[in-house]
Amino acid sequence: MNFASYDFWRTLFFCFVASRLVIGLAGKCCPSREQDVGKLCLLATGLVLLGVESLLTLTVFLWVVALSWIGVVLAGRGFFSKRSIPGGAVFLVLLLGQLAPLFYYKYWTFVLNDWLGLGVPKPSVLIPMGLSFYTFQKLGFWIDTIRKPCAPPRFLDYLNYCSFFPQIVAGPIEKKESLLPQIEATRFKFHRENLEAGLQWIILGLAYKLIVADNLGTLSQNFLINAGNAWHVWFECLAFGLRIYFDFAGYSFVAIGLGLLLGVKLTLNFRCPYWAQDMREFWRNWHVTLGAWLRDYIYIPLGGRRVPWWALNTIFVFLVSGIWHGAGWGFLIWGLLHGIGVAVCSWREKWIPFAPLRWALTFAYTTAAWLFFLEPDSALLWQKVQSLVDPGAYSIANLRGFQQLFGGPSDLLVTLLIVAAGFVALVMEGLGIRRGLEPYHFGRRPSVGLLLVFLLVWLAPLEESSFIYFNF
Amino acid sequence: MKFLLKLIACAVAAYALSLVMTIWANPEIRFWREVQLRRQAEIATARARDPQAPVILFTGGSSTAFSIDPAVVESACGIPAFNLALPAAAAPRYLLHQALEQARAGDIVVVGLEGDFLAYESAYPAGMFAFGLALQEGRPAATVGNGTFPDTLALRDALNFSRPGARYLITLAYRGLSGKGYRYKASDYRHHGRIETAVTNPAMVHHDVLSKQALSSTGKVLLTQFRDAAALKKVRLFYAMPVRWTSMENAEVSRSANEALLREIDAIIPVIDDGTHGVSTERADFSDSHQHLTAQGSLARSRALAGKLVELLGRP
Repeated sequence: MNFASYDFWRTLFFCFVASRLVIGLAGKCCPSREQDVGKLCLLATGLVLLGVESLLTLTVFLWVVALSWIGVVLAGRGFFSKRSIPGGAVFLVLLLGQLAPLFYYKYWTFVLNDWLGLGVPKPSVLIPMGLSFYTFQKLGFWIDTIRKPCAPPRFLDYLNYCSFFPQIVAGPIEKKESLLPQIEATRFKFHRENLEAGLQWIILGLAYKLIVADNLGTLSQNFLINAGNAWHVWFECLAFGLRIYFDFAGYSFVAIGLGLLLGVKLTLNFRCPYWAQDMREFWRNWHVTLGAWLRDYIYIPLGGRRVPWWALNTIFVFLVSGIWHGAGWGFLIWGLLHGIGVAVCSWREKWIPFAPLRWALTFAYTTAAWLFFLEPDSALLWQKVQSLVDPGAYSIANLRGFQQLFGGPSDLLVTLLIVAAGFVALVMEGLGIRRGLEPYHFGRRPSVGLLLVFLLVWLAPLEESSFIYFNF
Repeated sequence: MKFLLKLIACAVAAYALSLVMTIWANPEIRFWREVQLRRQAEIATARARDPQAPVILFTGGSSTAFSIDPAVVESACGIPAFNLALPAAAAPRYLLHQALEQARAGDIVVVGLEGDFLAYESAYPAGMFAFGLALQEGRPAATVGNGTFPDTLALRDALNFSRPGARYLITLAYRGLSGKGYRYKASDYRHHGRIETAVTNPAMVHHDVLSKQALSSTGKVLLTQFRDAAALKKVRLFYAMPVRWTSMENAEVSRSANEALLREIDAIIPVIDDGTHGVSTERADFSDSHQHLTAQGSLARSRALAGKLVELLGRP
């Protein structure tokens, strides 16, 4: 379900047109069932879009949905509230059953082979699309129902809550109370009143993804990095930091736009995070819904800020965040660095009184931390880390050798153009923040939307690529 | 709804401008389109002179464009010859199709596709270059060789080929601002379509083939489909592997590595075995790339090839 692919929009178009015909027919034949038919069509659209990605994606999705539904029904009856042995056992079975695909597809090699050294081969290496996202979303729903037992929603509404296509494969990870009431009221129709706002989000999202993220992705594959040159390593981290932000934020914007067109308001997953002045602010604005999930279901149950070991809680939560992003030591270290950063910033606010310096340090810290996220080769990672901390790696000779990072003058020029485009977008975000406007205010202005359409046609890469977060 | 219409209008305008930039203002496409028109005009003249006589057409990537001298072939075989090769960016289906389009029953087409095209699995994706030439011919579907091959040009591909992309835009701007233009000029055109350049590349690197080459499954399908299309038109086919500058120490290894590939090609299309097996160790015979021959290199290569072609044409 790649929003940047022609196939997605074509499939969606045909599904929507067919759905409207069916809904129209139902409205004529049986007006009282029209809304249900609309919901069935919405469900069918979500499943078709998952199914065309791969049958495995659809099968695993249905497995997790089935188990989570059993859990929700039992929780609604207060089955898990009694703290009985059968309740605990069923809870454990359902929890493990839902987490099993995640473990098998994502963590098998890391845990059994890299960590425990058991050398157990795994037949499949493909991770079904969006597995981490929907598993967390369904777990959240289930836990909320256990905490506050209530009658379960209609099965059809629950299925639509789970398979709402704009957000199913890469979030936002919506909570029960924010998405379910909207899904219950949906009619799967085109909301003309949201057309302009929805299109503005979609255009901005596609521009973030296709102009900046995808071009940087293609260009960075050709970087000739000298691991001993700190300037090379910094630029690699910067390019990746821009790429992952523009990629994931772009996806989230398209999701919001699609949601609006269908009359559903999704949570804004990014709120100009690169303008954060400390690590806490960064995480309040980066992947907002994952942060909220980790806070509500791990951090607060551990005692949150109320216990003396709150700093350890914070670090633990970020270790979970790291391992959620990927199975590998690099992801764990990345989580650890962020956990330490957030803990330090929580311990004492405004260590540095000068705001621009605080921003620069935060930006540099998050940028350097991406190194652990992007480099899978541990030997190379170690060399690059050494470069970052070795003053000798910042020599004038290395600075002069900066352009050797690029295959030729045309690579250098194109990369600089794309990085510049990314920074222009960031500056526009910053201007909005300074004026106290809503996030991405300037990027969503109609005149900017028209300009972005021009730039999309001209600058989007000629090859399709998927979203980075589909791997998570 | 107004906003949506404005967006659509912008997209249409952006595509229209893109088309101008990528096709009509593209110096590479302009050059090769002119070359193509000149070659077609020369073929028409030759056919008008003797409507019954067959002609020999060479096609392939730029290595063929620079290496086959039709004048040498004509004097050896006694019939007009034309070099219709284009840059490899045109992709195999277009390269083969555009030659077969020019052929009539009784003609001979010599395929000079680079070995890499046939040894590695590929979907042979078309690109902006072939689309530009095909569009100017008025047959966009020719981009994917439609008519010779069963492939059709999808709307998404046509829209994609009409867009420049960041790299092309920068290259166009850089070459335009620096006044460099395209590497080759109209004056590089030689008799019946051969291209020759005065540009040399002192930093040229030799290209050795160290492991045995085999015909890929996609290469097999490509050649088989082309053979069948040529048979329908009663056009006789041959294959001639282009030569690359190879280091002396790996020349024998490279020759025997290519030999295996040539044997498999020969089972589909008869190979003109001039003994080179895609290998040349003469550095002086190459101009701006390890695949582009100089006039002297082209002469030597064409003589060797023409001699063998005469023998093959004498056979039924």
